[in-house]
Amino acid sequence: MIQDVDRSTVVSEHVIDSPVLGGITPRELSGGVKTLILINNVSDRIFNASACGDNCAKWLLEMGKHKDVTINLRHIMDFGSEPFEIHIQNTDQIVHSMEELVPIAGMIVR
Amino acid sequence: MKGKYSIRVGNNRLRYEFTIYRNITILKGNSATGKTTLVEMIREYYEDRELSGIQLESEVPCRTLSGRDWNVLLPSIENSIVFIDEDNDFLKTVEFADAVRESNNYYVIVTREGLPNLPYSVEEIYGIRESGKYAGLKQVYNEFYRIYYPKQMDLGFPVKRIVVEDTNSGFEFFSGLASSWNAEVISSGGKSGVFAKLLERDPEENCLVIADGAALGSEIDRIMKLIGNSDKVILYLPESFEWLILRSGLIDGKRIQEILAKPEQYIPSEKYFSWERYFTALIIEETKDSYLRYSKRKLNPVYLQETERRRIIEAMDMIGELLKDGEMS
Repeated sequence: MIQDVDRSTVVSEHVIDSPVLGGITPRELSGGVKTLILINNVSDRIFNASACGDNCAKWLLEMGKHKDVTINLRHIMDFGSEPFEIHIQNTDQIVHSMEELVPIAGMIVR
Repeated sequence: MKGKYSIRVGNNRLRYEFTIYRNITILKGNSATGKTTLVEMIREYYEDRELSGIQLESEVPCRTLSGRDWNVLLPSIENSIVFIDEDNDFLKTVEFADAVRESNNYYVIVTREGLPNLPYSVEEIYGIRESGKYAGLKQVYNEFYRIYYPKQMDLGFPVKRIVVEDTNSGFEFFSGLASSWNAEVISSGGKSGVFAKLLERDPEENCLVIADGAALGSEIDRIMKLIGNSDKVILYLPESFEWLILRSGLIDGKRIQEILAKPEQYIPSEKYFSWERYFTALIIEETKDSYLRYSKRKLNPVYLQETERRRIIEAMDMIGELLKDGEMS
């Protein structure tokens, strides 16, 4: 995730090599990647995934292949053109594409 | 505050260059594009000036705002550009919107969420992209790019439904215009109703949406995602209906066209929450003693007379071509 989204390489537990910022700590990772890490590792909390850009969506779907993942979204994230399975808790509906998701999510968030 | 401001900020590895045109600018987009880094650079420069290792060029002070005490700090900031990162819960509050309305600052806000209490323009929503590296310096150069931009439209089809954001004069104008056409004109009852009206449409039906671009910013993301790749929906987003009338040249005066060419030079942020409100005030003032006397609440019928309506339609450029008599049957 860190390599894909932030284009950064984990050198050690506390040091990351960023192509733009140089050597950084995990604190300077993008808000999106930090939120993805929390979603993946702290399963008893629900995180605001609107801190994540669309380039994080595939990682949320990837996590969902291995376990149920519950997130809070305050905007309409673009989950891409491939089929997926997302349960919208507000309306108790399951959607499989952006064409199905947008009309429902758009009535809840902007 | 009024005017546009070009800002350059950077350190020895990373540099941003961009221009701010209005009181509210939104930054969004993918993760790891440098939004938070930009805000952090502005903060560090304010705290430590040159000792921070950051260079900042701006005609006006640049500040940041965050945390629980935002409402204590903000009244002390004047005639500045205020940068606010995401994850500040106050962004969605009415209290913050009220503070922005009364302030003479410009605001650059990082958020992916729509902020319906703030009337920001679809034109002032940007992403950040890397546009290159300075030769030999290994310094990355970032710039803003407009996320929502006009695209080429195929206008060669009859429109069956026109959704107008306006409820009063603008709606009356387009309803009057379409009275002889085989098209239904409906009002969305404001910007937040546009999405729902688009949901109600027959997906096979050609639909034209006319809304005030100056304040539609909080709605544009869900609208664009709903439209998707459909070629059945055309969005036409002039600054406002009043801007269209001013643009038509119906009201004499070189001054008006000068204002429209560079609105940012004339619109003080502390007086007008959005450009839309300025254009309304301007047209009311300019027409108050003439036959074109304008009221937002009720359309002066003169605007539907042959000459006047033709001039307004012509001000709509390509959309005007679509709306000309006889092309909508």
